[in-house]
Amino acid sequence: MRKEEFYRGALPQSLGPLEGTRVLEATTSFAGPMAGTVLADLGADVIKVDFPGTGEVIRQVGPFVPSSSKLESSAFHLSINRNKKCISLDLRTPEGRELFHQLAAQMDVVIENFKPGTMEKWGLGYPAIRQVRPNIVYVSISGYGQFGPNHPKPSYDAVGQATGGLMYVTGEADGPPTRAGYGMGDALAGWQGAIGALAALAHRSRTGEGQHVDISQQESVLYCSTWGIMGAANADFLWKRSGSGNPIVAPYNTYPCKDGEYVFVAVALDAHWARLCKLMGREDLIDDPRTRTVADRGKNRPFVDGVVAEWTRGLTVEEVVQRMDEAQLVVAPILNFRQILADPHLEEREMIASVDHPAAGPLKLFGVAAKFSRTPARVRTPAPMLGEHNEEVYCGLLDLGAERLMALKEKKVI
Amino acid sequence: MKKEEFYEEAIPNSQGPLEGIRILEATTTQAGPVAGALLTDLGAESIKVDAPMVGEMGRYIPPFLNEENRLETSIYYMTYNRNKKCITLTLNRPEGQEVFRELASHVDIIIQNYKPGTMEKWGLGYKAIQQIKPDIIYVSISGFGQYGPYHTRPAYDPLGQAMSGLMSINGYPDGPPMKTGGPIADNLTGWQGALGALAALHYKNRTGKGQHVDVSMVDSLLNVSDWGIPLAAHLGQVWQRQGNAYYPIGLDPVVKCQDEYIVLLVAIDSHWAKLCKLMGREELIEDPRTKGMINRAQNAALVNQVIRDWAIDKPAAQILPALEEAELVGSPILNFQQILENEHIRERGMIAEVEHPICGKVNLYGVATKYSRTPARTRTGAPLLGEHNQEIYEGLLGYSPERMAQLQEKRVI
Repeated sequence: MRKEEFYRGALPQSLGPLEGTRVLEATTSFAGPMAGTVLADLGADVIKVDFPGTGEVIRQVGPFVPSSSKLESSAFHLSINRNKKCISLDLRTPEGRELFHQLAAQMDVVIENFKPGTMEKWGLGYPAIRQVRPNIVYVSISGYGQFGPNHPKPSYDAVGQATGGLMYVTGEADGPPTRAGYGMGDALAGWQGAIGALAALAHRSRTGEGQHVDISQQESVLYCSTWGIMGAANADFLWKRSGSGNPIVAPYNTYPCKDGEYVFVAVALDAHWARLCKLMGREDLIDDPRTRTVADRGKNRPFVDGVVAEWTRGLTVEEVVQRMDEAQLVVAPILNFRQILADPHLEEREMIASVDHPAAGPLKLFGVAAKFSRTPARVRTPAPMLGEHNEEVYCGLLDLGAERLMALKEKKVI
Repeated sequence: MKKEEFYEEAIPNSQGPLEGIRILEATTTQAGPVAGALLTDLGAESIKVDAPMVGEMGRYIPPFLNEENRLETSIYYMTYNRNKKCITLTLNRPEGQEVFRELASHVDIIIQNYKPGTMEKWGLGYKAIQQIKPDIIYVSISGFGQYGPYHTRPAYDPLGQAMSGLMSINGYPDGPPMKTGGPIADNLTGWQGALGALAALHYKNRTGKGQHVDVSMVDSLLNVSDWGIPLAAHLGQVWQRQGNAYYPIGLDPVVKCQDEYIVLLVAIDSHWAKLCKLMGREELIEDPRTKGMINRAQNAALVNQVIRDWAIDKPAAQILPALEEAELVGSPILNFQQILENEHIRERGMIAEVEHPICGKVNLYGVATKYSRTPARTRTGAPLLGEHNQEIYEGLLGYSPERMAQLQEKRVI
């Protein structure tokens, strides 16, 4: 399909399918902000509450892109807080709490990722917000959830990966457990938060009822654990790490090339194996009892991997990809982020978004993954500056006067 | 909070927040079925269309719980298709296509993950379905999306990982790129499919309009790529793999104790001070190399070494409780046997148990999102091939038993 064809019914100027939905974020670091980002990317109007003066911890984390303000230039912050508004507000003060209540009263969704009990302590938990907004969808994101024996424990991304089974199964068989390169424990919890909010909104649109949505990092990782639980519980199959290889299929691995890079080759069907053998000049292996069927190759994985590696070592990544592409076999170069930036497919898919930032200038970020034929969504604005939308939100949405705003600023409430 | 407190307002017998939403799935193996599983887990009713007699590829992936009935007992298939209904229907013949279009007029959402162009070729693409059901939400899931230069290429999970940057940063600096242990690309693509469907549903609830939602594996993984793109675009830094350490900070959260590996990660200053006391290294609290988050990041090798030296001669059973008492971030690295036995995971309902007609009681992961009013759960096991033919064809479409028999004879269903 051509791009124009997909978007032929698109609304001009659409912000995305969630246009008109209001979200208030009391979030820091990654998991909470990610949930808000998913909703903001899909068109929701997201107001992020940030600490007056210093901003939240993510703004302190380098590396920083060249910019006129260090506070506004953390690459991580710029990447994940795009499309949001930012107001400063100290939630620990009574005045701050009062303002948060006033804001929440006008929202569809609240997202928070403080340690369980913290928002309650500040008078901002679900029961308190429900008083001011009975149909609120209130999403709490934490390491282990709002209840259960481990709920008070603090957590970071790596904890979610370690306790959700992912870290144990990632890495070489003879090496240590390995973290997925991305902050997968945080990102997955953020996605579950967005999914939870949307499902709760679906219930609200039918019944008028809001609710509390509880997301745990550990469970979010566990929710993509394939057969881990059933294997251990029912099949006498304790899943262990095995590098990039597949425990059942070969060749299905990364293989080294002449240029020092690697290529991923996946061949399962016997017909595909025969084609690969011809490419490798190893027709003798088509009917060799060690490699004839998918089951044979699975049993002799080290041998199969050796044969394929011997072939790829004599070629560049480009040559392997080209030859296998021509033979309609499944192959992929392992792209790094410089190659991703230059990829024509990702360009056409608008996955490399560009926005202008007041302090850092033109920025490139990842685009919006889901494509909507009627309500296209996109990266509209960069991450907001600390308190950038104070006036718009406090004077516009809450109707506070300019003097009150000044007084709040002086007292460092905002 | 106690569990009872969280569920105070829960509706008894709730199926989940999506109760009343009906989905039709033309999906195979993984990314498509995951999208359907997620929505079904949250209470939607999913009717999965499967190939008559043989079933889809996911049913053939080992291990199997019952060697005599492999078709129904692949643990892979059982995981991604729980809570669903299954009807048989052939989609590559006109009679089957006609039945599919009839089914489509009864559902809110269609999910399909055939190679782009395939459903169109069968007369079952978005345009065709829109004719019959104008407000349909039609979710297409594929490796590279419905448009763009690579849209016709086939893909498996590792290709998504390879083409999105993930594999380039996974693994050790002196080793090859590595995929994550589980098929994370397939899973996240399925999640994006569910997200896309929910966002489109929200729009439909307000405007009455449906749309086509296009989800690609590569796009989905880029949505968790943290800062990969800005680093390359603005700092000329190509994100490199560095094992367990966080790039570019360098702190390594995986620590070897005397007996096993654990996770231990300190970011903020008050935590560092607590850890220093625990390690008997109070002098490092004020040491200019390790005072402040930025200095610790710049001297990550030193910080990692101090922690490793401290941990290496102590069993995990001694270190973990000490970390917990000091309210520091630490955890065991659980394998699936340990997950199965973990009291917290159990109380959270993450080890679901369902009854399967062939396998008896089977365990699966539960539903990740917890809803205080509309709790969602794993209600039923994966359906048998064609288990719901009668319910759907006779009940929903009003076919007579004769018509059913006819379709069966012609192997349309």
